[in-house]
Amino acid sequence: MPTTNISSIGTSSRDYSTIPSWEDDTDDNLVLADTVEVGACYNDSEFLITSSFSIVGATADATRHRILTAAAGESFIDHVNVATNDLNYDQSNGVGIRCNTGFVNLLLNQEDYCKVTRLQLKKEDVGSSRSVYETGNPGTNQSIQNCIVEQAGNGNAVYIPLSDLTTNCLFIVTKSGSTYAATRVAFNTTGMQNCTLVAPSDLADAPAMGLEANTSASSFVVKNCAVFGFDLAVTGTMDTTNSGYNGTDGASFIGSNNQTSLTYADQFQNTTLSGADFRLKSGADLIGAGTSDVDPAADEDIIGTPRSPYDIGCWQAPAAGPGYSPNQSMWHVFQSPITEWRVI
Amino acid sequence: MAEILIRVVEHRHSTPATAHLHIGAYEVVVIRDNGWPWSRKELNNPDWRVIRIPNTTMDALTNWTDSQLMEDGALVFKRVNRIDHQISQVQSIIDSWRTGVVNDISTGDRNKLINAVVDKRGT
Repeated sequence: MPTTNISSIGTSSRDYSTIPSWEDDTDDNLVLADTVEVGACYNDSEFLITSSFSIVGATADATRHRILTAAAGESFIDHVNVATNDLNYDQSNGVGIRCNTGFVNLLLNQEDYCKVTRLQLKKEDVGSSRSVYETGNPGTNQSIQNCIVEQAGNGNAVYIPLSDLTTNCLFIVTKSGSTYAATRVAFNTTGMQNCTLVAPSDLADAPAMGLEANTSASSFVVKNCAVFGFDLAVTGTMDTTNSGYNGTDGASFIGSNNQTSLTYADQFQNTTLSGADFRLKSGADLIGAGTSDVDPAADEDIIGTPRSPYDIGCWQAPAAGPGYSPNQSMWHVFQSPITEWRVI
Repeated sequence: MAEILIRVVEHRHSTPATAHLHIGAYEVVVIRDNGWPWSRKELNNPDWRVIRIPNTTMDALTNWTDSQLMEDGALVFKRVNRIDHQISQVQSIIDSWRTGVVNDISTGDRNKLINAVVDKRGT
């Protein structure tokens, strides 16, 4: 079984003071080395991306690859008040990575099986570019799980051609009148489950699209996703046979068993730009309206709350009564199939 | 002033076919403001050097870390620019840099380095 090397990233007391230096130092043949390289970010301060940042170059496969994540105890997921904090980008709650440079994608994930988890990412309103771009050349089967991604400028919050399943993420578009989809898919991307795609309800001009297939993505399956605040919830060719159990304020969605024409304000705690909080609110139509026929990665929500019954979106409303306790470690999100830990 | 972390050795697994996917020798990994708190591991990595560049800013050097993508997202170069170490006196400047410290260079050497930056797209 592969050895897992966990490297800390943060201030000078960590292994690396920048994410690009971790990326370059672990750019290796991970298959030959039989290792998983984990970049574990610490919330010593907000990470700033000021120029092109790509994860690319390492030779990887399904069991030997790179993972960029928050260190144990450092993610918004690990915050003591995670169940009551506003669900929105807030670096004071956990590791945040922000890009304030124009025409620079915040994170280009171009490497086979590279996984991004437990992070908050924000692209400022500077020059058209994406927050997360999992390009398909090179690299396939990249994934993003349990992340908050805010796109404040023109560009997609995430573009995922040829990627693996996208699960338990909140994608927020805060650019009024943006003509870019919150999530853009293409080709043979696997699908998206239990994600929330939103634009604040008080933007002067609603962004154009929530979910877009810009070329045929006929195998792309969308399940248990919430899409609100856009002119058009979904557009393009996707798998209509296997998609379903989504919720939207739009008039229609792909697949079956969808909840459509829902009232936006009835679903989330706060849908405005200044007070955004995309946790489900009591009585939301999305509660219990999802399907259990999802990947195991979606069996718990963005903060580790077990799903039963399955809500739509990244957030699972707490079950009534005592005993509710989100799994605040969520370290297991990337653990399997790790058997040996070696801190370097 | 600004500080750069520059790779001075090729990646071991880099081949001519995959070189465009890696940060190569004499290419900049990351640029930071003057006084950046580099980690011990970054300062002591034998493949890297940390250099303080006088009379400049992070913004002025940002093209040193530019990459190039095709319209469809295909990666052309992870780093578009590199320092041509074969230009007269540049190799001796690089050879003078040590691990374990932030290397200060003179304004004259800074000018030689800036003049030695080449765009790989034109080579």
